[in-house]
Amino acid sequence: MMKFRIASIFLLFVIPFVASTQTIQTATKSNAVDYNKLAKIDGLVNDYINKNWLTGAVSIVIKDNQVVQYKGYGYADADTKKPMQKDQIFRIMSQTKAITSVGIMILYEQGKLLLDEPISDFIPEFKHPVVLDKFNDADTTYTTVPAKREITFRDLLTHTSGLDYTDIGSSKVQAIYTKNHIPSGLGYFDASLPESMKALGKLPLSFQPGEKWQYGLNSDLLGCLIEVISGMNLEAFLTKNIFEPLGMKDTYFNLPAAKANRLATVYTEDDQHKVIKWSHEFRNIDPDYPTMNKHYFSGGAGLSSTAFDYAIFMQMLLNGGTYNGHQVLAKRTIEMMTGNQIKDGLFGDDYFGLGFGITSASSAAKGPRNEGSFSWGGYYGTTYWADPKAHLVCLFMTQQNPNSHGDVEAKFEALVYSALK
Amino acid sequence: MRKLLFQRYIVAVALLVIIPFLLNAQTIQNTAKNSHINYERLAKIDGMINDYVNKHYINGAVTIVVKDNQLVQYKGYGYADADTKTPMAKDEIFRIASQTKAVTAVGIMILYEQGKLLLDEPVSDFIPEFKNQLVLDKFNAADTSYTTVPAKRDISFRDLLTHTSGLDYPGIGSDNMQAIYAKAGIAAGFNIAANATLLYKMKKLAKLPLVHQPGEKWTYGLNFDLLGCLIEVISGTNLDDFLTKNIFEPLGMKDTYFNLPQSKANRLATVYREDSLHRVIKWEKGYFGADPDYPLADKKYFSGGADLSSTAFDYAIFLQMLLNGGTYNGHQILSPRTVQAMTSNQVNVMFDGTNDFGLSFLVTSEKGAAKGTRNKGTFSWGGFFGTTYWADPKEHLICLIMTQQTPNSHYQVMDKFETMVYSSLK
Repeated sequence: MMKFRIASIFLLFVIPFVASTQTIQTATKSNAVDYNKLAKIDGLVNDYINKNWLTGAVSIVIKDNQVVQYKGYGYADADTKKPMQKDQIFRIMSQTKAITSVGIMILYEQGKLLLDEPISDFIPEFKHPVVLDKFNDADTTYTTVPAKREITFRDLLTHTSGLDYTDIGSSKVQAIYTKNHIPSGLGYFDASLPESMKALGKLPLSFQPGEKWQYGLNSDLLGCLIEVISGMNLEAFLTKNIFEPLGMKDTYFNLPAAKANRLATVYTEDDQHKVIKWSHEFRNIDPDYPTMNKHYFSGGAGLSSTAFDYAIFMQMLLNGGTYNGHQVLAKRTIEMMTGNQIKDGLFGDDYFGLGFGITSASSAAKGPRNEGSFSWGGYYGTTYWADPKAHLVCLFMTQQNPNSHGDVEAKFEALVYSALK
Repeated sequence: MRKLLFQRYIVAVALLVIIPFLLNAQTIQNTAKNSHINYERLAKIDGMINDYVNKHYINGAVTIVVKDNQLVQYKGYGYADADTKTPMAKDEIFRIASQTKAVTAVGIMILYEQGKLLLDEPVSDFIPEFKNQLVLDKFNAADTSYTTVPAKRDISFRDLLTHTSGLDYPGIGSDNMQAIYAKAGIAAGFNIAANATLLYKMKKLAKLPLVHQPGEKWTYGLNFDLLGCLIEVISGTNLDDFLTKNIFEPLGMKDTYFNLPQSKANRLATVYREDSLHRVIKWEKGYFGADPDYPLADKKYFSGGADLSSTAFDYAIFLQMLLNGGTYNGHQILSPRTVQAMTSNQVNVMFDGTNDFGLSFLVTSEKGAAKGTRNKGTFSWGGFFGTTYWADPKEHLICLIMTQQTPNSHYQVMDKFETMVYSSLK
C-alpha cells in the first residue's frame, strides 16, 4: 500500500513535468506572467490598425512551454474585411533560413558534413572562388582577384561567405547576379536550384570569405546542399525531418489548395505611406507564390507558416533540440547554433550564431531581450525571438513591406517583458 | 515496528543506489546502459566509419566512448592488416606516439607531488648541462652554421610541460633546427638508434641552441623526451619501470608498453601511409627514418614524447583517472588539485590563437567551445600515426579514435566521429 502511494505520488510529479517540457501547453495558466499587463497588447495593436498603419497582425507569446498570448488583430484581407485569424498563414520569407540551418545541422550530426568543410566537396563549381575587384557601373564588366580560401558551411550559416542577394542585396555583386539570372528566392521561379547554384559558384564573391557579414543567398545554397547531400528535395527533407516529427502542420513550400483561403493578403505602402495591396507585378514578386506549385525550393525565403507552427520550431530549440517526443538535434548542437560564431564587430554590437542573430551583453543592457536571445524575421514584416534566460518564445507577424510604423514590433516586445513577473 | 521496517527499507534502497555509484566512479563499467545516451544515434558511427573503410580512405580504426564512467561504444572497424585481411579488433595495439606525452607528464607530476621538483625550477638543477643555454640568432642554410645569443633564463619544468621551452622537434620541426639536430644526431622518439642512451642524447641536446627565448613562444618539441630523462635522473629508475610501477600497474593498463612482449606482437596493427596519389599503402621500414616494428625492438632508450604503444581501452583508463580527479581502480595517482592544474591554461603565449594549453594538453577555451562540439575545459591531444583523444569534464566524457596511418587525406573521419558522439548525448 505504502509502495503504491509512493509510486503514484512520484508519477503525479514526473509525468506532467515530462510532458510539459516537451510540447507547448495551451490549457494551463503561467504564474510567471501578469495577464492584466499582457492584455495591454490588444490596445497597442488595435490602435495601429484603427489608424490604418497596419491591416492586421498575429502575435504569440509562449512562456515556460505555455501559451500565454495568441491572437489575431485587424484583417487578413482589408477589401473583404476578413478578420485576421490567429492561425492565419503567413509568407515567412527569411524565417525559412533558421529551418534550413537546422536541416544542415541534422546532416552535420549524421557525419555527412563538417562545419569548416569547403562546400566544393559537394558542389565542385564552388572550387577556386574569386572576389570582385573593380566594377564598371556603365557596362557591368568587372575584374576579380582569387579568394584566399574556399567558402565553408560555417561561412554560409553565418552570412560571412561573401555571397550577396539578388534584388535586395547591398553590393556591386547584386548587378552581376541580376545579369546572370540568379533567383533571389523571394517569390516564384521557373528555374532549377542546382543549376542556379552552380551558376552562382562561378560569379565573384563581394569580399574575402569570413571577413565581413553580408546578408545573401547563403541559405539558398545551404538548401541546395541539403538536396545534394541527402538526395532528397528540400521540401521532402524538411517535411520528413522537421515538420512531421514536430507536428508543424501548417508549414509548406507549396501550400495545399485546401488551405489557400487561410493565406493572409500582402500589403505595401504607396508614396504617401498609405497601406495598399501588393500587386502581382510589384518588385517581381507575385504574392500568390505559396500556391503556385513551386519546384524551386528557396532555403532562404520559400516557406509559409503560422505563428504557432513557428513557435513549435523555436520551442524545440529552447528545449535543447527535443519536442513532441522527437529529438531533432542534440543539445550541444543547439548551444553551437545559438552561440557566437563570428569575429567581434562583424554584426554590429550583436553576435551571430548558425542561422540567428544573437543578443550580446551590451545590447541586452539597452533592450529587454536577455543576452543569448536568438532572433530573425522575414521580408514581409514578420519577426521572432526566443529568450533562453526567460524561457520565452515570441512572434509578431504582419504581411506588409515596407512598414513606416514598424515600431509596433518593438512596442509589442516592451509590453511582453513588462508582463513578466 | 512498521516505521522501523520502513527505515530499514530506505537504508537498503540507499545502499543499493549508492554502492554501485561509488564503484562506478572508480572504474569504467561496461555492463549498464547510460540513460544520457541516444544509442540509436551513436550506432550511426558504424556506417560513417565503414564508408571510409569501403572507400579505401582508411584501412581500419578503433573507437571508444566512455560517458559517466560507463563504456557506451567500443569497436574495431575494417582491418588491422589489409594484406592478410586481419579484422581490426577493438583491443588492437596501436603505436600511440605523442599520446605518450600526457603519460610522461603524469609521471613528472607524481614526482612533483612527492616534493622532488617544482614546476618553475630550472631543469639544470638535475641535468647541469642545461645551465646557460643559447638561443639561435642567425642561421646559414648553406653550411648549417649559426650564431647565437644567450638565453635570458634557464628552462623550467613548466616550460617543458607546456612546449614553451624553445626546444624544437627533429623530423617534424622547423627547417633550421631540423638541420642542426640532424647534424648532432638528435632524433625524435621512434627512430632512435639502438645504441644511444637517453641521458647522453639529452646532454647533447642541451648544448644545441633553443629556437626562441624560454617561455616566449609555443613550439612543439623534444620537451617530453627531456622530461622522461628527468624522471629517470630524479627517480633513479628507467622511464619504462617508473611508468609501469606508478601508472600502468595501479590503473590496470595491461596493454601499455615501451617494449611490447612477443606474445602480444600479433595484436599490433600495421602502419600505413599515403603515396603521391593519396592511395593508402604500407609504411615500409625506413620510410621517414622510422621502422614501424619499433614497439618490438627491445629498446633501452625510452622516448617520453613518442614511444608507447597501447589500446583504446587502456588509454581511456588513463583519461578516466584524470576525469576522476586523479583516482581510478582504488588508486590515487595524483591529487585533484594537480589534475586541475594540468587541465587549466598555463601559457600566456599564443598556442593556436583560439585554445589554451595546460600541462601537456590542449585545453578547449570558451572561444573554441563556441565553434566546436567540445565543451570548455576539454583536454586533448593525439599521436603522429593517426590517433586522437579528448576528455570533456563537463560531459564526463572520454573519446578516442585510433588509426595507424599518416598522412591521412581523409582525417575528417575523426571530426565526424566527434560530431556524432555529441549528437548522441541527451
